[in-house]
Amino acid sequence: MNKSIFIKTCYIPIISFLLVGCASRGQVPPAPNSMASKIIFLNELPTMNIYDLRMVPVNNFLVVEADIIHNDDVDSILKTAPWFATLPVLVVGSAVQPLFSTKAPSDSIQYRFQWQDKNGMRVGSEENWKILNFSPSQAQHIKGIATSQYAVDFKIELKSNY
Amino acid sequence: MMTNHINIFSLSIVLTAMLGVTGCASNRPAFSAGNVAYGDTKAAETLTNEIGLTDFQIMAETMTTSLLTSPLIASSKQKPTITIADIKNKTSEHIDTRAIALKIRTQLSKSQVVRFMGDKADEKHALTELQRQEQSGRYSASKSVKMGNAEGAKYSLYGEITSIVKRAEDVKNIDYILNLTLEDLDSSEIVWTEEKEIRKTSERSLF
Repeated sequence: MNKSIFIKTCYIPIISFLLVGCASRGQVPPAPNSMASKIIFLNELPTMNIYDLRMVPVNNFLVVEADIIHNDDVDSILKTAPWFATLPVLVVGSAVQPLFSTKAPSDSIQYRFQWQDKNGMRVGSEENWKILNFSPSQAQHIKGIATSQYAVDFKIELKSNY
Repeated sequence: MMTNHINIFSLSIVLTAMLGVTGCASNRPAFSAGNVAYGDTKAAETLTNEIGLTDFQIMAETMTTSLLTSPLIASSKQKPTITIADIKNKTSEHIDTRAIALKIRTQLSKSQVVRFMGDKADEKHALTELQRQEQSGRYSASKSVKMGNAEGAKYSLYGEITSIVKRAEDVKNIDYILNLTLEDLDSSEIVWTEEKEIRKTSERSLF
């Protein structure tokens, strides 16, 4: 067989397969500076609602706070606090079914903050992972503080605790 | 009849061993060749309920971020000078509290908004080096460091770590409380204080 034909017949399908593979995994990138653009998922998570994300400098150090609630608890919260529906909400995790059994006392995730300078480069040492347990009907609050004054932006990394 | 008993006995031993192996496997890191594996030091380590690196990291991070966002830093025209006094270990465990103190010092130093002066442990090294430079006769008097020029810290950082242990049937609960204080050595005013609580719960394994 001619070598160039062999290359075309073997490599083109492989390259096409890889491209299709990439395309099927691809999602619409979040808008810059949107709430979604600040979150990085490392694996499947229980379905959660991040309904508030705040960033403010204190003593020139960036302070970030996020409020998170488990998806199962949204309906019960809406009954007592209808204003909750007006908040901008980012639903994350496996949206169809909660990942973990309802028999579990609480779902649990791990998170940490990444801090970036004005050029998008990481600032400071890598943070350690922190565990966040979800108790039923309880919103959780996470807070991160940059330890360098060069940090001007952030990302929150989330992963399952299991 | 006897053979049946032996078979059931053997089967139960095999099943027990299999369950034991599976139980142990869940917390084990992946070993490649040999019996050594590198782990992620930033991962939440839950091998036992004793205090570990993850707890040190959480404590240091809480203390550092709290101090950096405190009014003391906002109101200081110059970088505050701090020395580490002592973190007392009031738990029943052996805890290297100096390791916690050094973690806090490292993180605060990297922030570049405070200055650390040598503490008691550092002073031993400094004095040894000063004496060596003065007494060896090798160094020029004008180009070696002099005794009596060190700058004293304005603030002293000290604290203690305590623990509360509770047991109920197969469950053991340990609460660690780290409390730190920053004192103005001139006025003896407590200018900053913070505490961090960590609860660790463990269940006695069947195997």
